[in-house]
Amino acid sequence: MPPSNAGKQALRVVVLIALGTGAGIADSAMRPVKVTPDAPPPIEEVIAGHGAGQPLPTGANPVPARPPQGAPQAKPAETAKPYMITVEQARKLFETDQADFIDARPETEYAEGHIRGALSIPIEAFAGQIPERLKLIPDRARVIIVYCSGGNDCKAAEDVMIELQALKYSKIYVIQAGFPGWKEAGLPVDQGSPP
Amino acid sequence: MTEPAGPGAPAGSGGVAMALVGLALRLVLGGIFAWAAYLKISDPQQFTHAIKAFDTDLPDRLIIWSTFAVPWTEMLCAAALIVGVWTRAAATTVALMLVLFTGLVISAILRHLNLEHCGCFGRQGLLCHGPPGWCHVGENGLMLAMALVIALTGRQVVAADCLLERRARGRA
Repeated sequence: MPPSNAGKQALRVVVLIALGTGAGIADSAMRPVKVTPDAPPPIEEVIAGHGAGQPLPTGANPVPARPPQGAPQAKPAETAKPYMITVEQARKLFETDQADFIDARPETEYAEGHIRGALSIPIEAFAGQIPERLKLIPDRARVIIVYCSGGNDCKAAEDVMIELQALKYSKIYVIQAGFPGWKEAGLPVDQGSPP
Repeated sequence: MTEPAGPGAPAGSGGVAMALVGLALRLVLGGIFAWAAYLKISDPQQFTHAIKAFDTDLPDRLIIWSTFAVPWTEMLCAAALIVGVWTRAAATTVALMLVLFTGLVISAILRHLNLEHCGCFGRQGLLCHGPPGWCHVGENGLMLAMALVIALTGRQVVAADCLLERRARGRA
């Protein structure tokens, strides 16, 4: 390719990328997407007025638990997000049957262990459809607690939360310590594939 | 529109065969990219999740722009490859995107990211399925080779570029 021709091709590459980017930015203005979920009502308001249940067993840790060996380290909780709740707060809602739990992890991890009664709805279940299992939670005002493997950057749970908010569910929270935190606190878990 | 264009115009049966190979590569690569772009454009929120899953620490605004700019650039290049307009530039752009995608896949493998799929073709896959792995690197390598052949040979048949070049030569 002679230099002048190479310059012409490079210019065309820039034009193609600029056109694609321009079309993309125009499209993004018409069809907004979300990177982070909206903040739900403060969890204290949801819990207020209901029984607090029994305290956690001695030694239980309501803040981010240590992930299992070999698992990626969760980031510290100094930048906790408004929809993140502790294991203790989730336990209160669990014991008073005020919330439904959604496991955002892959089904294989759900089968190895999950919060008792939780529904397995990973983010892939939302692709172009409403997940079948979500029909079990018809009440849009119901409190929903989503969890994944824990940590402040639990993207799988955040993504499920964004999809649920798009479906008009309004009270959605994420357990910051995730399933490892729940399990470490000695709270009820089950094993087995989703029904 | 069957006459090859440019200084690299095929001469003899070998050249014609090469040009036909180029045409086939253009149509296959263009088709693959059009399909990939369509899947992303039709469900942008899912593609946003896929970009986020790579844990790149990009600002939210950049993630949103990438959600739309990447598939629209793919679609534009796919159309250019299929029609044969700015063929070499489109193939070069596709090659650059493939280098970027492959870098992301390798980075995900090395960081042991727990991903369900790479998001390259929505939830679907071309040759490889499941979490990003070395199969995806090979798949991208194959497409990269196709893009480079098109970008470097410059021999096209049944391409709008041929018409444009012929017109330009006629004016000269």
